Amino acid sequence: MFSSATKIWTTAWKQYLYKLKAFSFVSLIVMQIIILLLSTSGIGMYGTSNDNLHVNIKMYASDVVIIGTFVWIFVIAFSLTKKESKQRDFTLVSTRFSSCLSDLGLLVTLSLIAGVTASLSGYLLRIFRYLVSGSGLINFNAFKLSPAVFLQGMAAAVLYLLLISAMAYLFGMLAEFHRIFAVLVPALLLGLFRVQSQAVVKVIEFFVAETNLALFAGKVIGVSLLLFAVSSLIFNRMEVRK
Amino acid sequence: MNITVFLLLPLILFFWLIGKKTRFSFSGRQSKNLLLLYSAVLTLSFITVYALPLPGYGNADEPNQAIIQAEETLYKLPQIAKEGKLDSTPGVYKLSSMDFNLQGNELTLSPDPYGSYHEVFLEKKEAADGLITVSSYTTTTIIQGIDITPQIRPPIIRLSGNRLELSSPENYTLAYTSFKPDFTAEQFSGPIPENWHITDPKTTLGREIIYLQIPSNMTVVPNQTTIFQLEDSQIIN
Repeated sequence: MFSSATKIWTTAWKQYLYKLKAFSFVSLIVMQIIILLLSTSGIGMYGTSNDNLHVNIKMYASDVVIIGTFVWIFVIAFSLTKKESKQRDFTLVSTRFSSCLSDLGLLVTLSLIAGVTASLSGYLLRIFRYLVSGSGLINFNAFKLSPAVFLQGMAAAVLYLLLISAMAYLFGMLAEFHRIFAVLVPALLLGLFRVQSQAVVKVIEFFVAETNLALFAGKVIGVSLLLFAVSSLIFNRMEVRK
Repeated sequence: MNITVFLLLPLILFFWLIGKKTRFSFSGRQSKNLLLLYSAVLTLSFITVYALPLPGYGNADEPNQAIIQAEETLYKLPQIAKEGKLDSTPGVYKLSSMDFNLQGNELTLSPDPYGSYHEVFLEKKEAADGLITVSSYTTTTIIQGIDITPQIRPPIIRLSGNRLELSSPENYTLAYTSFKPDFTAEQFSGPIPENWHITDPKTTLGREIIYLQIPSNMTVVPNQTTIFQLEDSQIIN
C-alpha cells in the first residue's frame, strides 16, 4: 500500500516535470504584452469641470492584464482535459490519478508564474507612462504601492488564477465526460444569472467581498481542491465507462 | 469594469491560438528563456519604480484625511480672513496679488463678463494712501485624490479708471495621469461597503476668494457683486 502510494506520487512528479518542460509560455507572454500595449492608453477616465476649469484623469493599472491572464489560464486548464492531452499522458507510465495530480501541479505552477508576471506588469506600465508623460501632471499617490499592498494583490491574483483553473478543469472534465455538459454548464450558469441573480452574486461575493487575505486564501484553496477532487473522480468514472 | 475588457476577450482567444501555433516554433527551453527574459524586464521595471526619486507610497486614507482638512479650512475661510491669517494658514494658498493706485475715493466693481461668481472680502486699511491691494486666495482642491491646487489659475484682475474688473481665467484643461492599485490589491484595502460598485469620489473643490484692501476714505460700489465687509461682518451687494 505504502509502496503503491509512493509510486503514484513519484509518477505524478515525473509527469509534472515532463509537462512543465514541454509547456510553452509564449502565449502567456504575447497575450500580456499585447494587453499591456493596449493598456498604455488607460483603463478608465474621469472627468469633471467647475466653471472654466476642466480636469481629465486617465487611470492606469494592470487590471486588464490580470483579467486577460484569467482568460488565458481558463483556456489552458480547459485544454488540459482534452482527449489528445490526456492521451499524451499515457505515452508515459501513469495512472488516471497521477495524471490529475500532475495537471494540478502544472496549473498551480502556471497560476504562480502568470499571477506574478501579471501583477508586475503594472510597473512596466508605470515606467512607460512616466517616460512618456515626464514628471508633469502625474498623480504619484499610487505610483509606488506599499510592499504589503503589492504582495497582497499578487497573492490574490495567483489565488484567483488557481480558482479559475480549477473551475475550467472541472468544466473541461464534464465536457469530456459527455458532450452535453459543454452546452449544459454555460446554459445552466446563464440561467442561474437570470433566475437567481442574487444567489450568484452571493457566490461571487463569497470570494470578492473577502477582505482578509488568509481567509480568502483558505476559501480559494479549499474550493479549488474540492473542484480538482471532483474532476479527478469524473476522470476515474470515464475510465470505468470506457 | 471597463468595456475594453469585453472587447479584449475575443482578442485574447485569438492570440492564444497564435500562441498555440507558435509552440511548434518555440521549443520548451526557448520558451523558458523567453519567460526568464520577460520576468527580468518586469523585475527591473519594479526595481526602477522604487528607485525613482519620487514621493513614497502613502496611506490609502491620506486623500480622505486631506479632504477633511481642506473642507474644514474652506468653512473657516471667512474667519481666517477676518483674523488676517490668510497668508499664514496651512491649506490657504495665495494665487495672485496686485497693487493699484487709485485717484478719487470710490471704487466700482465690474461683474464678471463670463457670469462667474466672485466672493470678495473687503478690508479697510487705517491709512488713506490711495493704494488698493487685490489678492486672490484659494483653499485646497482635490479631485479623485489628486491635489490640483498648484495648477489652479488666478482670476484676471484689471483696473480701468475707477472700475475694478474681476474675471475668470479662460477655459483650461488639466490632464492627469493617475495610477491605481490592481483590483486584486484593492480587495484587501478595507471593508467593502454595501455599494461596493460605486467608487469613493475623493473630491473636494476649493473656495476661491478675492481679498480687497482699500484706503480708509474709500467706498466700494458692489455693482451686482457680493462683498463681505470684514470689519463689521456685513454683506453688501
